[in-house]
Amino acid sequence: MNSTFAILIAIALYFIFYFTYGKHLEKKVVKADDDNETPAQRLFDGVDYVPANKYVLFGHHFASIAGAAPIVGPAIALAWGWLPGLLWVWFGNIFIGAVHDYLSLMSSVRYDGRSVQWIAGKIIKERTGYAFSWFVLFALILVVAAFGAVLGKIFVAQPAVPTAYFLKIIAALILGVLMYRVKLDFRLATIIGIAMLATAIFLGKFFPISLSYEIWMVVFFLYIVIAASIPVNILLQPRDYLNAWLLVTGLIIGGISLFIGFDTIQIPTYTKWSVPIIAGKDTPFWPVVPLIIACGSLSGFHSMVASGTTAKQLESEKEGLFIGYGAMFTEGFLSTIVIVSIGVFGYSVMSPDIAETLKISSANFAEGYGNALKSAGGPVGMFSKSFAMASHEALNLPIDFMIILASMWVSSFAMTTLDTTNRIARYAFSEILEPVKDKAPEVYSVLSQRWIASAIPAGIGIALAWSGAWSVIWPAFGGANQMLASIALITCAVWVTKTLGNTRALNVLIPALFLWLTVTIALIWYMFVAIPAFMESNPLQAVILGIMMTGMILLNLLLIMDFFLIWKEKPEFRGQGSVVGNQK
Amino acid sequence: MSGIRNKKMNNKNKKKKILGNIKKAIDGIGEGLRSSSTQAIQFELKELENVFCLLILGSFSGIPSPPAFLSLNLLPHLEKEIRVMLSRSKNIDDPLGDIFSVFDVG
Repeated sequence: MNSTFAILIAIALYFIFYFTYGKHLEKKVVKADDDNETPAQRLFDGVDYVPANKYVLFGHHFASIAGAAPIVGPAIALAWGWLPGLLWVWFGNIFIGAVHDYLSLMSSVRYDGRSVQWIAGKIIKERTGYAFSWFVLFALILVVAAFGAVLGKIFVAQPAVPTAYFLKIIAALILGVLMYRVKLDFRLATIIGIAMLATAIFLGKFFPISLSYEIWMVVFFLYIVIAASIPVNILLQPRDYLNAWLLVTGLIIGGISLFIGFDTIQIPTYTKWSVPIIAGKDTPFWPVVPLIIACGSLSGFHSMVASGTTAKQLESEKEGLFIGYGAMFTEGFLSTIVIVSIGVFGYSVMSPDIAETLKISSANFAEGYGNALKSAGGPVGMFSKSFAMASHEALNLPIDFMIILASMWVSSFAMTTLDTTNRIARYAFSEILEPVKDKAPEVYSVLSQRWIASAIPAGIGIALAWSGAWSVIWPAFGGANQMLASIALITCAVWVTKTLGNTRALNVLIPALFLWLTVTIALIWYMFVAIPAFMESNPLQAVILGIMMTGMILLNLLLIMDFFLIWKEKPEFRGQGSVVGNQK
Repeated sequence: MSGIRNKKMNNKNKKKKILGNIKKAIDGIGEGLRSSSTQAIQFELKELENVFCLLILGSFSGIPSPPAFLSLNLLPHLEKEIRVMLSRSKNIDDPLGDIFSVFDVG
């Protein structure tokens, strides 16, 4: 297989399934109808509910769901060979991830733009909605841990990246002043911003910042807490504007390089069923890979975005497929680029000794890939070097520059996630602490205080990341994320069958139950195999992870119990394509 | 002859239309990607508006309001905010989703 064919197959698959399976979901399952007014029209208020052009909304939705995770996960999953990872990205994308995103969006549209969490509480049980909040908090802590660990590794392995990142922050500050104080023409300011970004990447190589992993952890913790006090228009907004350029540049260069490259994928197609990747233990492909690849194929966070902002801006029901289903395919395409670029250039970016050992046999590859990742600076290091090689071979772009650009691309996403954590933590806490509010108002007021609410998940997350064991922490984050997806998809299955009356909507029900089963078994495997192994080296972190995993498994059992209880009840058929607005 | 010319014109128009649509799509997606950088500001702005509302109408929730003449003077400026507030109190159940859009986790 060569890179061009892999990219072509991905494009063809996404294209075919969008117009067949996607359209089937739109017409037969959701029964989208432009005669139904969307919340953006029905409840227009000029602030929250505003109809947006479908392309603008697609770009906005994609930018909100695309992050570092679809890059990191597939890079780890290559231990099983390139084919299993690629198949799970495509299969998960088409039959689970995109279905989950589309149905979350459309169910929210039918419920006045309310969150999936609220819909779960409404159509399943109130406690299901509450369980959702706990998952969000667990996921939040694990996001900090996983992204902190991955970022720390790349900052240690490539000292040019933190320099370039800090120079980019300065560039963002200057761009903010140019845009908002000097009121420079927007296009001119953009050109200056991009030039400063390129300079930051170029200078990074000459002024590396070499700090230990632990010091980076302290820096990240302080950054997360302090980021809450910086006015957004000074730093975050211009920085995120530059990030959008990094994302677009990365996607275009990566796509073109691999498409015109005709390079043969070098790494084994398939290694073996169980590879020693999590905590050095033999890790079976199923059920664990769905936890590792996470957002590349499906992600529970997307349901929050789809039902949070996108549903309130959808102009017509038929545009939902392009935005909900289509944006997820684009994210899957990003993961395809990651798998193909490492597949082609993975050996070239490893040290020659390691590469030679891995080349001996596929069993050797399976055994040694974890160490190869570590020596390359973790999954981000492996991806950024492979990406740089791909763009160098195809377009003759300078390797050093492209390595820093790709590392910055992923790091920027991860950093945005870290500094947004404090905002989300505040709301997640206030949801969870609601029952405590009346019983112990003093405790509630202390815990929901802004600084404390952000310091708790940041502190626990960084404490977990301190171990440096990203290969153990990453699947835990994936598990929390996929659990969210499982709740959202089960909610959507109940909505489709009970509310819309599609009692035979097996294409929603089967993925929902398959996902639930997969994630539950994966978490049980993780509890009994990975955590005990982790306990030997990092007892404190293992206990924290163990408590969170136990909580998640219990909540998950409660969820499925609620699901079967509601399943027995009589269907509440409300007519096809009904707008079930204003239900309380 | 005129039939061929019309056909050519139609083809030209079709091409123009297709190119126009592609441009519209690229511009729109670009605008959407850019807007991801302003959503943090939008969120802050919404919170400031909430605070403003709370200042003027705080007495409803037990927060002392400014002197009546100030509140009354400011009230006309609040028309839009009151509409938005009513819509939010009725329809928006949790602000988590809003912030998740800013949260680049994938």
